[in-house]
Amino acid sequence: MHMSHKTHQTPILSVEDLSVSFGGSRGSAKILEGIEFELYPGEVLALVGETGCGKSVTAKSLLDLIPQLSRNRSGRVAFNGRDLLDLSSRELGKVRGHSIAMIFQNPQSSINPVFTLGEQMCRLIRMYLPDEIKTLCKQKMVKEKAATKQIAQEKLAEVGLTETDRLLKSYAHEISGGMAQRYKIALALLSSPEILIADEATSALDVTVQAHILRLLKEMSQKKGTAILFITHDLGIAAQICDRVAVMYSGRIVEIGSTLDIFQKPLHPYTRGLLEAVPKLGRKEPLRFVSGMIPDLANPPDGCRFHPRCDHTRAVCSKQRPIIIEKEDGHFVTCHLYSATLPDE
Amino acid sequence: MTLLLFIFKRLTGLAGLLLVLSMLVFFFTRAIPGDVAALYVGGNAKPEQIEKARQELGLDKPIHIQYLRYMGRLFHGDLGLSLRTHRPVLKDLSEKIPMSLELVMLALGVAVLMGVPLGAIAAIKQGSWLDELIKWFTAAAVSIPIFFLALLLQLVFFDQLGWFPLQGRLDSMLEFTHPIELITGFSFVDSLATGNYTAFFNVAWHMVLPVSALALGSLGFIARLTRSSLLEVMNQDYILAARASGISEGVLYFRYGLRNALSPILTVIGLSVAVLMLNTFFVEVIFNWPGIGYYALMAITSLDFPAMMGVCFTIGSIYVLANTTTDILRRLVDPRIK
Amino acid sequence: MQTNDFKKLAREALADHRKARAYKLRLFLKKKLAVLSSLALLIIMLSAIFAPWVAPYPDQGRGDINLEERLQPFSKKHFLGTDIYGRDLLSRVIFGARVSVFGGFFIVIMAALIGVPLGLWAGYREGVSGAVIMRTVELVLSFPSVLVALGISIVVGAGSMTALIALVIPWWPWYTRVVQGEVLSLKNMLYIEAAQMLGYGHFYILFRHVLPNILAPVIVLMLLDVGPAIISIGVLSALGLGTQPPNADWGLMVWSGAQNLLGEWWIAIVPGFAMFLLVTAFNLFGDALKDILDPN
Repeated sequence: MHMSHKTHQTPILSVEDLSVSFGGSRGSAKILEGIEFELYPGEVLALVGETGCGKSVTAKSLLDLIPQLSRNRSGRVAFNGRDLLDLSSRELGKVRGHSIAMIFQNPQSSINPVFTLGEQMCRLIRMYLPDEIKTLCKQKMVKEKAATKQIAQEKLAEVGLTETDRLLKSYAHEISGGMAQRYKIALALLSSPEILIADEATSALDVTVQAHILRLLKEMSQKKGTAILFITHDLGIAAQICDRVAVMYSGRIVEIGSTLDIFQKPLHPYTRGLLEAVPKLGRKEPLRFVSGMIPDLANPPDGCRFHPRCDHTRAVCSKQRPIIIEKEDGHFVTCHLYSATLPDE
Repeated sequence: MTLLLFIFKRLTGLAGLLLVLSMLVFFFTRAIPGDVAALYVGGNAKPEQIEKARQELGLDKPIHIQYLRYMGRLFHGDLGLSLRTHRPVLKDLSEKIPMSLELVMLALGVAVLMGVPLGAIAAIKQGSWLDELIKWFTAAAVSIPIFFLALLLQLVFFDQLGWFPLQGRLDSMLEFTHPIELITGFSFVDSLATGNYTAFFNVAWHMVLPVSALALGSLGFIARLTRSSLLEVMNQDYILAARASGISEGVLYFRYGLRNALSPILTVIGLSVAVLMLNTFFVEVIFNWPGIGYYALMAITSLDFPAMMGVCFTIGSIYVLANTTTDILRRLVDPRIK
Repeated sequence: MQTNDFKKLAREALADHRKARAYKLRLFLKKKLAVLSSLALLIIMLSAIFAPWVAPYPDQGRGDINLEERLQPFSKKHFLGTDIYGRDLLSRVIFGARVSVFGGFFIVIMAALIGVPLGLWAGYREGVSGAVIMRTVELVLSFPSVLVALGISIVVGAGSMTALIALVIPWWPWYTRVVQGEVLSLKNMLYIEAAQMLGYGHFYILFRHVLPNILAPVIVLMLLDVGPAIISIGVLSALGLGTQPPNADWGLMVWSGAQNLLGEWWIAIVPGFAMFLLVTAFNLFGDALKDILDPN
């Protein structure tokens, strides 16, 4: 089933019924079940959920970055007219980094510690932008190495980094988290990808640095037209830069809508619970949190996976899996509460 | 810290260790039970002769004077006279060390050149039958005691199959007809350099069994370490990030993976030098190879103190030097090391 | 209300952990190699302990000479042949197992008993005492270990016990270094900080939080170390510095049997092979355990 945005654009990425399981000796665990969402050009979509809900697995599975799960994926991921799940590793290698880039939670450990930042960046520049190097060589009458370095310095400046000369010669352990993440963003945007996946990209940073990085991402998205899939567990962050929000729970997407819709008119009980659990200044009531724990993936609850913790659960919730319903234009929810034909208790 | 500072620090450490080593060696030999002077003179010695010998050897002076004289001579490279061969220990050693080093370096070379690729293959094909096979093989390789392996090789390849000679460095006939003119002391190198091809091939033929015995244990160890180190590296975040940026698996493994895994491998290579030197002892005795191990054995059994001191000091120095070298190499490869 | 919920969560997490341990045991049993090596080890160790009853000729195992039957190959009477003194080789090997097994465990356990607490201290407390410990470790490790043990044995005098103690001396620093490294990385874990903030005493933290987490890698290290320890004992004995004849010792037997290699080869090869088997069994066992306890 396809969801279409208000403006009825064509999505740049369309995930249909993506399921990923992990076979173990205790039986297989369904890590992702029927994930469906669309990403539109230039927009920032948040993928929000608790730790362990599978949001990171979703992102990595798009690009087949988890070798153990390669063969256990089903569904379809349409990108540029092709199904990413069907591509050979060579073809996928052309997509990764080139058309779909990714940045991760811990920027410093994502940089190879034994090479300088410059060495790693220049290698990618040679991979993505060979023509640009050649033209620069001819223009400025310089050698390849100098041209590459110049491009590197330009790109680093674009993300707000200074002292680029020194930076290129330093190593991962010599720079701060904020600088490292800016560097990683610069690398990711080198090839002007259509999509940037940010997997908890700000979670390991200080709050002030977080704000800067978020602003940078938004800027770059607008400047270059890159769509961003922003994965986070923090609703507040999602609210800051995202156009739309997708809420995930235990391997399923439970609600998708524009940021405004999600925050002002949350539909799914889980979304409501998340929003109520965010402390607000000035509120004097005790903090309400969603009781219970996330389900064991090897033995998930039947029917709707959230029903054991839900305040509005009915008999049908433990028997049947809810389907996606478009409650209002562009606002989708997966919950029996909103079924057109709601069976009685 | 910068590379130069690191090297400097390491070299001063090396000097310090050598100093401690010299002290240890000195006190060690003084602590061994047995009357040196009496042994020097030999059996049926009259008390005056023993006393004279004691004075000659400086053993009558107080211990700190002895130590200072020892250190003084050490700085001049004078390791004393061997009580057994009655030649300067330094001269003895300079002949014997290259013999042993031949074996050790060849064995180390074989162990690294075969061990690293073997471990890498096991890591790349983790879980496959090839990986299991290599795991079995290396587990066995590190479990064989060296003296057993040497004897086993002799039994199988000489006694049963007759492919390789039993002992020695050169067929005794060839010692006369095609003697090797020693330049560096490495018979392998010298025979080649002087165009003495008959001797060269003969020495090579003699070397196969001892080098194999020496190399096998280190080969297994290096292979296992390469495997586990590479596997650990491939699980790191930066490999994931590199894969996500479109870098192919092949490049990931070889340009990134191995390079990152190099540090612990280098450490092990340094340690292997020590193990190999110890094992050379057994291999030399079993294969009758005239190297430092053989010399050490003779020194111990005849309580030849200067020779013992010289051997201990030399082996200790080589070990410390090898470790310092690998430390520096590791710093070159991995800038995180302090 | 909040704290009770947290306690419940903690209890549930602990229950999960216990389930995980049982699961690991089942995993271990599934690995054929692990089971095989465990069995082999059990057989060898039991034979070593009950040597006087298991060996067909226990007196010869201990050293009695039997010159009429010397240098015999494999036969029904002497399953593995006899040595140059006519002693039944099978019995000799079984008695030799005692030395090797006991010696191996002795060295490893003593080294751990010394090295692990020092490592815990150096890693947890750091400071001046920690630095002193680590410098000592580095100093001892700067010198080739077996040569150090050799030197000590020569000075103190030959003997099986002295050889064992001499081997412990260069052996313990490895444990200190490994443990210190683990403790250092563990200290950064939040739950240690949490325990400290909650006011728990240092020793309590060390025992209940730090120790259980370093136990797994240390035990794996110990098991994988028994093999090298056994070989080192063999080396010292072969040089005449360990077990003294006529006691049975594999290293000694191989070395003295070497003279007859080209004729009565079994005298040297059989005990050597026994050593190989035992060390391999320990290594395989340790490997299997490592895959489960400390996969990293």
